[in-house]
Amino acid sequence: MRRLRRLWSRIPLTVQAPLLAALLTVIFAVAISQVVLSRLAREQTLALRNLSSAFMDGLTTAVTPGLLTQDVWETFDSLDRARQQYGAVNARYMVVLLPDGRVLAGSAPDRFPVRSLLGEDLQELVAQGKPLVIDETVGKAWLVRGVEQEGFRIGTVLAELDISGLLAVRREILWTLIAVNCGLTVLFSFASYYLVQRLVRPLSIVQRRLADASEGRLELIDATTIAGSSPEYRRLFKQFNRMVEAHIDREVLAAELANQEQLAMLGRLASGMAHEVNNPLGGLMNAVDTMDVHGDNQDVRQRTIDLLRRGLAGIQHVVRAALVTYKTSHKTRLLTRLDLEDLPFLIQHEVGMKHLALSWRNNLPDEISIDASSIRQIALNLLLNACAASPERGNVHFSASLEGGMLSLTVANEGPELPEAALMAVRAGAAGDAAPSGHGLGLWTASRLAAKLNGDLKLRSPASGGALAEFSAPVTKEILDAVA
Amino acid sequence: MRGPGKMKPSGRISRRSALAGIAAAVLVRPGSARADAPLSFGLTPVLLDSDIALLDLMQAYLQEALGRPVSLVKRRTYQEITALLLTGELDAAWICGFPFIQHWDRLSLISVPLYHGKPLYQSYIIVPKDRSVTDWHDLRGDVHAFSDPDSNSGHLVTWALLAGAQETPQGFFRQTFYTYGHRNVVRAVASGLAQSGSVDGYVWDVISHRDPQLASQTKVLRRSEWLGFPPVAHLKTDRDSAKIAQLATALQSAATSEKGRALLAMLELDGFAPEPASLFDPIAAKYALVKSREG
Repeated sequence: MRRLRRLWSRIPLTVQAPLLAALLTVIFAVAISQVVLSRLAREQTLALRNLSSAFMDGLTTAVTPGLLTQDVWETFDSLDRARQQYGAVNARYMVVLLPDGRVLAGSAPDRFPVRSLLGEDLQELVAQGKPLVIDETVGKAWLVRGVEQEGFRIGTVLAELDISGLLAVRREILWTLIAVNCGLTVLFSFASYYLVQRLVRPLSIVQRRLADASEGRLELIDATTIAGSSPEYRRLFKQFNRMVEAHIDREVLAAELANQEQLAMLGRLASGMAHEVNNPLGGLMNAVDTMDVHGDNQDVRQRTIDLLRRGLAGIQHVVRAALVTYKTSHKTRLLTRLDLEDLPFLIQHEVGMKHLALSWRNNLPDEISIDASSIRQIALNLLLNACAASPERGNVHFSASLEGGMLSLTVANEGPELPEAALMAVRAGAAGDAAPSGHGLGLWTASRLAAKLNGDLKLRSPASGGALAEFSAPVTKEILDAVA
Repeated sequence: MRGPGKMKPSGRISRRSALAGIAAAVLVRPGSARADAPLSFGLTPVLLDSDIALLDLMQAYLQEALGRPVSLVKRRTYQEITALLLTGELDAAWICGFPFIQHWDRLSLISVPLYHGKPLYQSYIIVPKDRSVTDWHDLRGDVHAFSDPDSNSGHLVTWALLAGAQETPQGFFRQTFYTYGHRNVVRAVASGLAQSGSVDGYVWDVISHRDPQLASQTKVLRRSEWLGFPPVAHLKTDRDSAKIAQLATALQSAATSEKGRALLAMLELDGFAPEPASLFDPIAAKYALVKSREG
């Protein structure tokens, strides 16, 4: 049953409806035919009963004089005349029997010779005395009527009627019904196919629009189509258009938000870089002033130049780190030990703001078969998160190592335990879910990148307090290919 | 062999003769005196049954020839017509030779039809066409159809045939019945109701021309000797009646008028002729034979 239902659900609606229409028509036709034929059979039987009764009335009246005198000829002549007179009854034969069951005369003397006895089957029929016996299988009916005179049975009249004509009429009606019903079934099937096709045509418009939407092409249904549709479809089209408009609005808003976010990020980056550049810039300006005043002094000049060199080197570090971090490249680059070495410069601002102590241990080899950009982003996000979570003058620990083909990064900080939001962000990133609103974007990004590298990012709060982030990922050639 | 003139009247006939005499005295005589008094003419089923056209033509011809109204009277049996004739309710009747010889003492011949130029006909024993019998002896155990108890060709001839062989119809045949018409005998045999039948040879011949489909379903197994054709007779007491004389003239001169010729053509007869009562002696002999066997 379930299989049938599944099979049925796979059939298109435009085929289901004609099939149902045909099925219903067939059921209806069978029911109607049954009613018509049974009614016809009843009417025919009733008509036959009435006709045969009238026929036997006339026949018995006609043969009574002959029976009374047992006159063979007169009886035969009466039967012969009755056969011509009651041609519509279609009597195959009529027999007049004497009280002892012998034939006085029959309309078919060859079959019923004078003074002969009837066959056993007919004798039984006469003995039953039923006025009308119908056997549709052979298309015959038998009439039996006793002839009485002054209360005495003087004989019996037996007649066999050919009712094949009645049955032929019934068969003809049956075939007519079958033909008409077949015609109606086909007609209704085609009509329902046509109608359903017309009815579901508007749905195909929605279907096409949705298919286009899945490929990124969102289009409204035009006003002409809507105006030419039925009220139901008009509502559907309007709802679809409202949905499309809402989606477009959301996309526009999202694009705007992304743009704003980008601008904000750009602002933050610019601000950070300005801050990092500004710090040495004050010293550089002082150095330039010193050079301007005491430039002729060898020692002063040399110290000032060293100061300028260190200041410019600091700026160079900041700029290079920014370049490495934000420069987009379509080519996967392998991680080098130095890729992580400039990260302290990127968090220098956060570290300096809170006067944090950064403990840095980088035990990686010169080159590792893993995507440099992803690892740098993971490490930077974890470091920024640790700096943000650390209290003033707290300690932040960073370590990177490669053991057994696994790259491990560990970032620890002092301070409060991990908030639930941080853990949720990591879980969402690992599961591929959308980024949580508010805080935790950095952790979500790190978790997502870790999953992309087939790696694992775990956050926990050690007993000693603070938070510990542990990232590990396999280092293989295939991973590199996958990331690419 | 004793002829009609030699036979003694039976008691039944004597009673009927007495009744007829009374009737003749009361009814016939006064009527016959009038020149325009109608003629009542009885017809037995020796002729074709229910042939309305024939009856119309016969009535028309006789009325024209006699110059008086003619009423044709038909009854189902020979006996009824004979009784009407004997009681004087009929002026004349076309009866069979057998009733004539039964009542020879009270009846006189007016005319006898000429069939094939002679006042003679035969009795046939007929059987279904496809029946393979060659002799009447093979008919033992049949259901046999007779025409009328008072018919010569449709009863007496076969009765006498059996009597000659020391048989009776009841003993020889399994079942017999009367159809009260020669045509009905043919129908009975044709339909298979009877396996054999005794019929007027003239009637069978006419049916074979008029209704060959019916006659062709039967065949003649035996033809009797030639016997006197069923005559037109009247009561002897009316011997001097003008109507009887006119009727005799009309019948015998039928061939001289158009209607008369048409009537004869329809009857397939050649005419009518006065014949002596001795013409029916052979029939009387047959009757004497069966009576002697029964007696």
